[in-house]
Amino acid sequence: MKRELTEPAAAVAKAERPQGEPTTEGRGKCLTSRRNFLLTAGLTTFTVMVTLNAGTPRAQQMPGVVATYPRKLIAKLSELEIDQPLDFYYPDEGAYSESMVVKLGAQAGGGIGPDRDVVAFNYTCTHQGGPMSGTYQAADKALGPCPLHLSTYDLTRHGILISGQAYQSLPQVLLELDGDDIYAVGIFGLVYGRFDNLQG
Amino acid sequence: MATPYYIPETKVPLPPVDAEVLSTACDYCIVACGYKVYRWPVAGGKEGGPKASENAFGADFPVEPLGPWIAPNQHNIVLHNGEPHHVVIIPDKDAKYVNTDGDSSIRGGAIAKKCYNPQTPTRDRLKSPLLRMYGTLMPVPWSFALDIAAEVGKHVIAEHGANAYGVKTYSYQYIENTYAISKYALRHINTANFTFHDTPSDVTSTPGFRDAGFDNFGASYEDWRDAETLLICGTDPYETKTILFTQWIMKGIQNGQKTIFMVPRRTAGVAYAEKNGGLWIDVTPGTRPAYRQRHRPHHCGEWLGRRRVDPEMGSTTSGNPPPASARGRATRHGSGARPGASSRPPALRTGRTGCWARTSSRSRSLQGSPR
Repeated sequence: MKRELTEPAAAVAKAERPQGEPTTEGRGKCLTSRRNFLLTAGLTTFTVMVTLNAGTPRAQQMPGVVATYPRKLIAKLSELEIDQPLDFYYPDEGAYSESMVVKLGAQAGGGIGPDRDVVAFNYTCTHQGGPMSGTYQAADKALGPCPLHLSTYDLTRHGILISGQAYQSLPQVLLELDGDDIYAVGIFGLVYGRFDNLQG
Repeated sequence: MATPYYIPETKVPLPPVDAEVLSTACDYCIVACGYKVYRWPVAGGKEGGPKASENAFGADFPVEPLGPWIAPNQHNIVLHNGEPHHVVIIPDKDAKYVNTDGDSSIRGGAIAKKCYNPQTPTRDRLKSPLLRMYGTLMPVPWSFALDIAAEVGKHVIAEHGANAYGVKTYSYQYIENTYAISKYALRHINTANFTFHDTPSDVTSTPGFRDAGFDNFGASYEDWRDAETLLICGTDPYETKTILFTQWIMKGIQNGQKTIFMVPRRTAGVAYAEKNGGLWIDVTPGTRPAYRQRHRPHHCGEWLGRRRVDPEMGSTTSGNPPPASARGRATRHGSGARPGASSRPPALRTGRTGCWARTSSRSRSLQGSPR
């Protein structure tokens, strides 16, 4: 039995896409709008709109709450150069906190800055914990292949898998821009090795 | 992440020390990697802790790379004995065979997601047979559907003979099932029209290659690692038999194995092989006969014998007479095969399903013998 899988999701994506968001259909489908990505910043919780039962007639938008994370200054917008990742630790300095912020030069899901192209991700492969520091690929705006089993992630689309074995996207670090200062304020997705992002 | 397709979770429950542990195998591909299921009741709110003494893995969190980490997609809640239970399904870190590092593909890694849970899209499942009546598929009882199937079968056999009744089945999913289905087809229906999985009749899926002297679908995983040269056609095992690639072929490549891919897409496994001395041969529309020509056995014998990989495989034979045994086969094939005939690479014919040609020092010695 074949069902219409794309229509409701496409409709949702179209309806909530404000001006300035990616306009091509393929991108719009898997990018959230910035408005929904970051309704509030610097507060104790974030409310984001999430779509449940995506791609089915039951698709619905619901508010979700993301747990409290430390707010940490990680970089200056003016110091970022396109395709030159900067490393930082987040949400703490414990195991698997190695992360990177990069100006992609291409608009990205969750991107901040005037070009909406500054994104941040955890460096640890969500397949089996391989370190992906130094694997940024400027040509494809990708991280990987992971040295362990070759998983590769798309940094323009919330860290979704391009190819490989991970069954989760790469955790994206939620960013906030305050003047020229870039703050890390949260993580979407569970960091490898941990059972809880904030408890280790 | 607030995308239509993915809602991230930032926490997973850890199995408590007394969680039930069940061993199982992934049912997605023929590699059948070992997995472990950790199951414990939701009632009572019991969860394991991050210290090794507090969870069923006996591991401290955060775990090491390759450790027993639980991705949120590896947890689900199912009904067991009528009560909701947590299940965590992760690759078996104690496996000694096949999946030796407790690795997992994107398919097997997410087995937990396909356990039935009415809160998830698995609610949409077929619960009874469907019978098309007046153009519409209608749910009917099993006894009714089986009665119809039996009567139709009897009619076909009486009218056209047993061979008009075909039986097609998978070739894996545990011996109990394949045994029963084979017995049904071969003993009770008594039809010759019976086959497994991806083959039109009960033969190898790559008859051309077997005729050409290649030994395919090796049963020994060590061979995939230890072969000097692998020729892989029609598929990238990194995508389709992922653990065979990451746990065996990849280790071979790291050890100097030459891996040649003849596939239309330059996928991740191809890229890895190329980066490490392997070769990718694209499929150009309209050139199948040329590929077939290149894969005439004397060419294969040539580059195997000289242990070299040449980007223009078709040209390596000039001035280099093939080994005697290979010449014999070339003659045999040269007289029987025509360009475009059925001996073209099966991978190109089937598109999706791969044909695997394995060559090693061991299998090379077999090539000269009649098969």
